[in-house]
Amino acid sequence: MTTLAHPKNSRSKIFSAALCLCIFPAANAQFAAVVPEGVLAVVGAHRTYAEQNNTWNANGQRVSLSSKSQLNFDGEHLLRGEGGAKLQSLAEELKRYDPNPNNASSLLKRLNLGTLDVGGRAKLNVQYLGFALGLPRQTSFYFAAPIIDLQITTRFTLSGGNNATAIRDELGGLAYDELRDGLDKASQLTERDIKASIEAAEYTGVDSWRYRNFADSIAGFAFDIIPPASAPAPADFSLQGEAFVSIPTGHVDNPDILSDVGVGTGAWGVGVGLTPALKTEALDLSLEANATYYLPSKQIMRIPEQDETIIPASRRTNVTVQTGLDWGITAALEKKFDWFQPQYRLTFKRHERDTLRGSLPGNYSALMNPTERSQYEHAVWLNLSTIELYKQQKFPLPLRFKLAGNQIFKGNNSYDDTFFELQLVSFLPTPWMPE
Amino acid sequence: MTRRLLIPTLISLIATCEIFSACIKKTTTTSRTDTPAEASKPVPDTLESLPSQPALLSYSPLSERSSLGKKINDTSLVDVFYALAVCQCLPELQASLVTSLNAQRGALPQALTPAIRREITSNPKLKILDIVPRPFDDFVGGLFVDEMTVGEEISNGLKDKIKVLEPDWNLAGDSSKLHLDGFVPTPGTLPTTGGRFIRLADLWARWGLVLSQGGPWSALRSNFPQRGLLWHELLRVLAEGEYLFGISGSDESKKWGGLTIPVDLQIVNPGPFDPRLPFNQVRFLSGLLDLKLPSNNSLSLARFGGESWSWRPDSILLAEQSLQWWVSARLLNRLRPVNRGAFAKYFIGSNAVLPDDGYQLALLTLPGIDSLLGSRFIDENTRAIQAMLIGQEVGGLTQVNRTRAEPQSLTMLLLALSEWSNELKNVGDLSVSQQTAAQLANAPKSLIKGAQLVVQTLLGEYIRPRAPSADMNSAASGLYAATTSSQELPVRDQAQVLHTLISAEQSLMPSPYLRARIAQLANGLSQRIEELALFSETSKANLNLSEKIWIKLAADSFVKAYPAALPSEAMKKILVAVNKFLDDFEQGSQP
Repeated sequence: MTTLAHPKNSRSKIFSAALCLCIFPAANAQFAAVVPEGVLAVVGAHRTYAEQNNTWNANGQRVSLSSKSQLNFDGEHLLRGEGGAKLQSLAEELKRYDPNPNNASSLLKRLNLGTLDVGGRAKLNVQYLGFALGLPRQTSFYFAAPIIDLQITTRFTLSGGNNATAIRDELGGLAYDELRDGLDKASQLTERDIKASIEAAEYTGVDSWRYRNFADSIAGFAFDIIPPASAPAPADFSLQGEAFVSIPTGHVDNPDILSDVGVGTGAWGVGVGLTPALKTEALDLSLEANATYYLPSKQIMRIPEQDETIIPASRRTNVTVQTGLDWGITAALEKKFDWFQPQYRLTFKRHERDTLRGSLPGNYSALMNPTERSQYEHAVWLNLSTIELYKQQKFPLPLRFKLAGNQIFKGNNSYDDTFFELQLVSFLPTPWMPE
Repeated sequence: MTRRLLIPTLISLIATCEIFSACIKKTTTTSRTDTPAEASKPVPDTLESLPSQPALLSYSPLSERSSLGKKINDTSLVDVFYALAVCQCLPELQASLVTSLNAQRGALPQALTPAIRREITSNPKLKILDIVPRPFDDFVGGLFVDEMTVGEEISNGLKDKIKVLEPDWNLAGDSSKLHLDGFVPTPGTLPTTGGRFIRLADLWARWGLVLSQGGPWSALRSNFPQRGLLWHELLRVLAEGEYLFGISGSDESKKWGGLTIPVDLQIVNPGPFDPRLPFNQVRFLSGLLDLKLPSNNSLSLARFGGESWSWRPDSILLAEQSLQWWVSARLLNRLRPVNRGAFAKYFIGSNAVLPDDGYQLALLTLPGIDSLLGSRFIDENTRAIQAMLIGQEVGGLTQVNRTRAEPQSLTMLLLALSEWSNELKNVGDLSVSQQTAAQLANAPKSLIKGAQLVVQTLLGEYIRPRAPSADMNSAASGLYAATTSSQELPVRDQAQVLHTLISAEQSLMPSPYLRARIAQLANGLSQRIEELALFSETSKANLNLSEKIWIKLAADSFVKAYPAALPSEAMKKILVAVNKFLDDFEQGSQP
């Protein structure tokens, strides 16, 4: 299972929408197969994500990431405060000249200061460390903790026409000096002004944000329900189960940091996994299914009134979050050679919609809707293993080296979960290992 | 309007407003015992209604207006006077209305008129009374003068003054109208409660008429047989102004009157306006005041006063205040040195009949505009403009029952602000301190800001498309001004809104956006007039004078301001039709 933390209030933060990289999985539910009793499997891995250029929208269409991160500085959006308090005042003032400001010819509707394209760059590297300890009766205990190095650098580009001067001239002497000045300044709107107005709304991290710390961790038991046959057989069916806990050690989206990304759910989760497998002489087939239920948690968020992106600090409030169920299923096909096992994996993952409740009235749906996500991915793993060679005493250590490539090919509200991973597992004896 | 601006202005006014010199030349003695109250009993009044400005006047219709010499069917004469004053048209009608006012007796006996009181108290023959203890001085005074003689002397004094102004004026038939009692009610009205009272809305409407083409500056004056009476009404206006504000020079013992009330309304006893007091004690005029007189003779009344005024507590109406502000700006316009033209010689020198600094009376209104408008009628937080102030609201202590100003009051306010802005554009001719002049010169900035708010409120809250689906951006679509409940305003009010917006756009705030809305409003007005067949033969019998005057104003100002605009042709046709209506009325061919 891959846990996708997602910024709950991504609608509230332009950069989250732009740069929300698929968040590093807290851990793989199918972290490790049951290891032999008394054996300690130590895992170290490095994962590099691709830069985010495209994303899937709520309708499952693949769109350019910049289209999600555009901010229209027209009257309607400015009125909602998306250009900051000063431009909101300007829009409110223009609204007062028309009995029906929603009319297409109203000054408010005609005001357009351009489009802000929010771009940026994200460097994401993940290391995770873990271990699995083989216990008696075909069970194992495992723990894994991902360490993330995420660096987000943002870029603002204001483009399109700006008609503030035309509106100022049209109003002429009817406009107050303050309004004329406001329109003058609006006509010279720059990216820097926008940043300043965002900062005035008590946001930090407007230009960049970096996180070097844990994501959510995982600890669990793996156990064989139907263990694999001890002796070679033409066809061997096995069934492995898991029970695990997701530990909220990762960063939760901070409502006051504009460009941060939630890399953790902020909630404790409990989950189960089931892996039926069929091994033949030619191929191994398996189906990995898992589900995680999260306990309710409390988080601070800024609640939009409609669907504004920049939300005033005054709308910050405590929210009860019921993180939606995570579940997924993976079909894996593996060919085994003595020291080389290529594997192809096809995965479907889904995160049900989160539920948010707070005392402050507002548009909670704008925050909840994007949390409903699904992804279709496929991956190729190339496992290089010395286990058989070790058994034949041709190699001093039992090791497994994995080179993996993962690609998403369809999604809803999903980001480009494409990465490459290098993993090294060593199996070490312990004093409790049976003779 | 800033407070810094006004305080020095007011201080400079302390020694001003020496309203014209006293008229009485001599006094004689009679044994008549008529009380002044009986001698100058005002013509009874009935409060009238002004339907288009319900907040201004909510009175019952009047029945008898024969003293006007014209049958005016309008429900409100105040409305007619105001429309005529703004229009400055129909000069013959205006002049005849002004002179008809002479026949009316005011609520304030002329013995209490400050200028006359000054003459009486400074008369050498009566100085002896100062050493006679009361109440015997009344008896002794009776040996010198009688009531009838006092009246005759005052008339003669007035006649002498006016003769200076109009040497060729034939007094015959007009001498009985020469009296200087103040606060003449609107003609043909009857009192509901009896007694003496003044309603300030009446006063301002009459002042407006006198200060417009109906006054002595009328182009028709030289051929007008009763032209002396036009000056008489102006002298009355000045005398009333002096009494209203209670300012009459630096001698405290020679100050009389004072009908102003403080803006905080903590004490509602009328009193004089003292510009030396702190700004938060600004006083203003509003509503209706009752007068009680002591029962003694004119001589005693002039020497000791004793009149008692009480203000009838009521809402302070934006419409009434706006009317006053507009009229005071007109007063400044008429009396300021730069506009005196051929009459300049009557303000200074040996022929001086009018006070050279009488225009400063108008400046006393400025603190009221600032204080009432700045933080009371206009909500500082929401910038909503209120139609009225109630009770302690005036002091800013509570805010209850606030009612948003309707378009009619807003247009009256806009007109007042426009007039003041224009008057203060150049203050070089005003005799005020350099500092005050500089501050006055800065006042238009604040006034224009107020005017911008009024226009924004009008456009944003009360202008609607006549066809709901019409494109508001289309020049061909028609707009109308609506009531607070979104009903289409009557034609009279539509025209008033249109004219006022044109006036503001032309003189204060040139704006393509406003011009577009004005053209659409003109479209809407012409459509409405056509729908109602307002200039058909059948509508002549029910001529509503103020409605036609406002239509004339709107059409005339539109054609002059925007000759190339789309509705200009329609406006020209309306102008021709309404001019014919009004010309016929002025010439008396209408009933």
